[in-house]
Amino acid sequence: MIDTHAVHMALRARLEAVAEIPPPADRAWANVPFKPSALRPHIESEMGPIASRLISFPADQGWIEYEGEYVIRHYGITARGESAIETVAMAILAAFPPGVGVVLDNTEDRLRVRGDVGPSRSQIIAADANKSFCAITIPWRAYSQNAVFV
Amino acid sequence: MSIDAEIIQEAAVIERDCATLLERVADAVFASVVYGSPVTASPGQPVLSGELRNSWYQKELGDNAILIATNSPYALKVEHGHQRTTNHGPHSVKRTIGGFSKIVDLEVAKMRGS
Repeated sequence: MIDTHAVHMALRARLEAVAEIPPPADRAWANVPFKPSALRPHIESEMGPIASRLISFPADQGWIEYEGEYVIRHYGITARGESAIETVAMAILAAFPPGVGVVLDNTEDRLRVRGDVGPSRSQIIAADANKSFCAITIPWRAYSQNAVFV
Repeated sequence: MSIDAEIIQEAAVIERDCATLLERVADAVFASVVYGSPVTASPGQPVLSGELRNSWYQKELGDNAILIATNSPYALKVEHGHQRTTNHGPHSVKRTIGGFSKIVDLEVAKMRGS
């Protein structure tokens, strides 16, 4: 059974390695109190729902396939053109190329950015009075061994 | 029956089955996006007044294409998780796209009776 928190943290670590994203004070993580500045860009991320299925026989100690999306929202200042927001979106996409493997602490598990449904980005969407955002979606797929039946 | 006639007959069966599969997959995709699905793990559209959920529709475009869309002005913000919800959740379209192959596999299996 995969540790979905470990998957989340591994993907987030890869995001935090992108030089172009806002500094730590302007990063909002799931379920952590955060008040965005009205004057500076900020970034949020979360794990979407996760689907799983058994892909091997027998079920005992077989392989489970997990699929989900890591969703990132980068908020820029409205009415300052597309360039700043686009630059960050492209940098994030470059950090998650289709098919790339992401290392997990449990080396028995496998995590990879999907290539059949590759990473994508939204258009720039007006959010509040002074912020607009671009959503970057990173579809991922992971494999982990099923439990031992007793 | 000649071989030609058999091939024509079989082609008609395949065409009919493909049309049926298209409709079934479209219905399953629609359900996944709007109501949620255990197959894709999509949470479905959140409900407050029902306006967003009721705004989704299907439309046949011809040429074996079906459009599934919404005309709600805030659907995009809900989908991308900007607008917070108290039930169901965001990312239903993403999860449905991500799980599309599972939907097709399941509908094919149902048509085969397995």
